[in-house]
Amino acid sequence: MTAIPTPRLRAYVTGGLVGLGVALAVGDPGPALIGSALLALAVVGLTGRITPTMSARLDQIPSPMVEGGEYRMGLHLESDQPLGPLYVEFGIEEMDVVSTEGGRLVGASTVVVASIERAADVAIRVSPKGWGRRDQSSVTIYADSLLGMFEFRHVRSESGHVVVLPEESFLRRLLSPLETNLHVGELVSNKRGSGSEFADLRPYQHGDDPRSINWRVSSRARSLWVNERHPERNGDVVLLVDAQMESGTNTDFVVDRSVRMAAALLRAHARHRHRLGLVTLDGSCRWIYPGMGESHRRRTLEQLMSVAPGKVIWDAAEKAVARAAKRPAMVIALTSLLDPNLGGLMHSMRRSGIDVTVIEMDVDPALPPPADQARSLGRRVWIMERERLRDRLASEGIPITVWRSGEPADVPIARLEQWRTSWRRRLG
Amino acid sequence: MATTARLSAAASSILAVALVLSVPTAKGSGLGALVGGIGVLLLVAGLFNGVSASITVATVAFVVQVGIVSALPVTLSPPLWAHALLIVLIVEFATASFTARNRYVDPVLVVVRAVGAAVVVSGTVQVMALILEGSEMRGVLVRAAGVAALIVVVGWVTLSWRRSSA
Repeated sequence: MTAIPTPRLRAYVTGGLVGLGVALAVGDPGPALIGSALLALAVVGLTGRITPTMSARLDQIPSPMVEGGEYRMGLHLESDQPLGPLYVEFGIEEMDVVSTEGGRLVGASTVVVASIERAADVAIRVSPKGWGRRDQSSVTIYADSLLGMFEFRHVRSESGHVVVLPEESFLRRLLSPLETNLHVGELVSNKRGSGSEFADLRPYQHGDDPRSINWRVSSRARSLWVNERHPERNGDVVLLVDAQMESGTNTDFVVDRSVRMAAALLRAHARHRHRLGLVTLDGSCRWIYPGMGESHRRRTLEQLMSVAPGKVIWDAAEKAVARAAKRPAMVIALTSLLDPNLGGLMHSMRRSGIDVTVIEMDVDPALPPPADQARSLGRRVWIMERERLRDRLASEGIPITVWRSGEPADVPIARLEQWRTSWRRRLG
Repeated sequence: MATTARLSAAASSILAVALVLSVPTAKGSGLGALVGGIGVLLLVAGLFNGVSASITVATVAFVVQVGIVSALPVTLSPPLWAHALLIVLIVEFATASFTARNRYVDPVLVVVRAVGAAVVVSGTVQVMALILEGSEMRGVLVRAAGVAALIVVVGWVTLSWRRSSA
């Protein structure tokens, strides 16, 4: 621990010395009496300066956490001498300490431990607010020396970080990729192979599995016919999260909604064993190739949670998308479509045969009502331009829907699924 | 600023004002009140602006105030032990105000510590005053030593002020 003298020590020592000096100068013992009493108090306080050695260890840190949830953490304290009371301050970014065991909670993040002999254990329950990737907390422990002449301070900085996910919004519906990959999964592939879903009949060829012979059809046709089946495969889903923000606009809630939807989609698609990829379009465009597994899912969520709204460099964005979004992946773009460049990006992906779907984040709540007629006219033109962009994307075969404020996350997914189903039927 | 910090600063300021207002002003002792008044102003300014060295300056001003008044042929008011009591309370509350700006401070502990220290110091002053009643400190050598000590202490205070402001 570090011993820091408090202002009272300086005041008592200085006041005491001045009192003695003034008494000598004016020839009266009065100031000397006050001065010597103050000095005596300071000397008694100085005897308690023996700096204790302390260690603190924060353990059982759960990661990832979900916003609004409650999580238990443990703090183990050790000291080479008895101390008390101790003030333990948890510097956890955007996280409140809800309750504590082994101490008294004061304020949002301070726990008072009445006393400690050699070791003490404190358990706290924290509740994270908002999503994001946060640095792991620092723990600062304060204690006072005898008469409070010194403040003992111990700062324990934890390395690493904690990921806080958005509150879980359960998706009952999911968009199924049109094409599947080669891994075994839950989707019925449109290709032929070994599976359980019946696809077609064809005449028997040398080398066919005798178990695939359809005996009923073969007896009627008086030649051997075999069943063809669709194999069960899984799909690649790449989420494109548009987190760009124009400086001076109040559209950060759009990024917040995009990230919340992306997190819900990632969780839901992971449950269906799809391979998941991610492209985040923010100040630094980053991508993760489609993959599976717990570590991949964790990495994807960490990247999603570290999205920092900013200006997108479109060259980098195009490269990132070209690397991560390849056939047979289905790309789900979560965007406000405020930048027409993104429309161009969707267009080029569609032209290269990638299955693209757009969920547009509603920006209307962020827009102030037009102040005058000219602005009103400008707003109408802007709305028409956006309508035109949507129509253009739709005409290119890109399903697009607006996720209005207040709508559950299932609603835009249902609209898109309906669109994709009718489109699939049209294509046969 | 936390509530404890605000309340402590207010208590410290009120006590400081009360101390200066209770000092007599007759027969030139107003000079002592003036020095104490400057100390109060600096203390209040320091509490507002977060300069902890103002506590030291105010303490020095109050001790000098006692020196000036006790050197003049007027009755010291409030008595010496009350002076000591108020000075310690002012220092304790002002220090608690600065501590509470950075971290949690138990308000009960602040009051208990302030009152306890003040009672002990004022009691010590009163006991010593009874023992030393009637004694005088006169002579050229004694005064010269006192002035020299004063110069050293003023230098030390200036140094402390600079360090705390840096």
